[in-house]
Amino acid sequence: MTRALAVVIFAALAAAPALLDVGGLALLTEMLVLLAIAQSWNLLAGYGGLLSLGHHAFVAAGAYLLFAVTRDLPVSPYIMVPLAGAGAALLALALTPVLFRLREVYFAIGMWVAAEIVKIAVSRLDYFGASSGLPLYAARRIDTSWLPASAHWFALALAAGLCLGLWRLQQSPYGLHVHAMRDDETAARSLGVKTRRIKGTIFVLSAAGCGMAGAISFLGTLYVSPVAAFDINWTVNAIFICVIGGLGTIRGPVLGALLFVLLREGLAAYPGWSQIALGVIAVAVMLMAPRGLSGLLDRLLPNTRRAV
Amino acid sequence: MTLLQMQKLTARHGDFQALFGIDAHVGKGETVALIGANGAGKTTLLRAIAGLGTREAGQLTFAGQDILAQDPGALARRGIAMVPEGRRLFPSLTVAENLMIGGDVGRRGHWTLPRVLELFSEIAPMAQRPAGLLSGGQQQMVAIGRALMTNPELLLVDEASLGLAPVIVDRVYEALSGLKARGTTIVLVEQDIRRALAASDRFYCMLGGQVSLAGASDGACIEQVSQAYFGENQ
Repeated sequence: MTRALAVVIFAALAAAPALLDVGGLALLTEMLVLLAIAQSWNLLAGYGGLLSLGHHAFVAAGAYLLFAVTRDLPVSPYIMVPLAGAGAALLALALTPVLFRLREVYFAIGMWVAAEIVKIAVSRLDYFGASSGLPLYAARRIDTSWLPASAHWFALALAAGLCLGLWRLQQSPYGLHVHAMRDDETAARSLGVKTRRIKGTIFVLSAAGCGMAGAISFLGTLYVSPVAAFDINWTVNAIFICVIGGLGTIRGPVLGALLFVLLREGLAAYPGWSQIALGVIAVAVMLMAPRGLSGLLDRLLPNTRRAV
Repeated sequence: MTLLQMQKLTARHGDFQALFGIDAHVGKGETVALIGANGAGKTTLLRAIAGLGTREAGQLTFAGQDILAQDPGALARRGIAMVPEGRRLFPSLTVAENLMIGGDVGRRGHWTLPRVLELFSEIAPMAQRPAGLLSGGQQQMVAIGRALMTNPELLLVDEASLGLAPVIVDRVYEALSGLKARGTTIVLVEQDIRRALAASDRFYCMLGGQVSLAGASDGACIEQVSQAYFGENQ
């Protein structure tokens, strides 16, 4: 039943470019990008127990890699989307020797500091357009009329792939090891669970997801700048989406992303109020339903508990 | 045959040196008790054996091979399993999942999920419940079962009786006695001197990170052990 519903939703989302106008499609693509970033953050924090306040660095890394490489090499920007994820993963790998010495809140702050350092470096390097950023030079080589639809399909494939990947993780013995590490790292280590390798793997995969999401998002805007790419709101929104939806679940960020976009658009006529409303809802959910909307669903539909 | 050998082993607990040249050994199939007051270094020694502590110097061999520099994962695969103080289960996972983790990463052998649930029949009906919802006694059984699922040659048990009702402690020690009968080598940390001596073949009493007294548990003089436990000035 759940599987059939997922297939129907996927098919409907895939058909969206033919059904929606430009504004509607852009909004849906943005929601899918936000969902992809939230699921990537969820993999690290909800499943692995590692809170990061600097995931916007990976969003930016993916975006900048796509813009810089397609400027210098005759590579299609579409081919660069998965490679942007690989680039963000490499950045994460480079950060692990320092960041994995830090624990809990220090890791979270360390990630934030790392993101700021990368932002300052990119803002000063002419190769990346310094503080002005870069246009998508490769736009000349592609039919841009297809760009909104292509970005949408990429975002859909990424978000769906991440949801599917998390579902597979939940079903696998490896998923048990990840949960064990999150619950008690020392106890897991004493049993032979390779906690360092698991942490490294989910950190790198989480960065790759954000990198691809960043590449897709800025592919649609045709321009990348440090202010937009390194905006901490990428991370803050991911945290919000996971918290209100339900951390450590698959459907939580799906519900969270939907609510986030609906609230923001619903309150768009009242500038500033949407942020206040989102903050109030986040606090209310944390106080009254610590397991988020997903937890509320569990209470209402107990048979679906732990399924997704 | 000696399974575990320590010579002049020193180790740290955080920033502090907690063990000062421990010389001890554990024979294959033996149950050895580590007794001592809080802060004596018992848990640090157990953690050092399991690879969870900071081992500094000295010799530590298991089945004749140096394990001083090995990580806990490698030691678990070689047959050293630990039941930690406070149980430290994975609360969000079910009882069965907690047990299966031990089975996933450990060695193949006698202990399988059905056999562990048979040994601790009390927890069998709760196999699909989150481990965090179990009582302390049930959690202790899961913690021992989880360690058994790695099919250890050497089982390290830290404060198995901590916070449990006497009747539950009896049940836990009955299970440990059964494991000993199966040939499992056990090192147990226990603050209750009488219980520790009753459950073990030999004992090491620790004080201030050193062995203050060692000997056979059977016929050990409680007064002498108590003196070694608290120090001569007490």
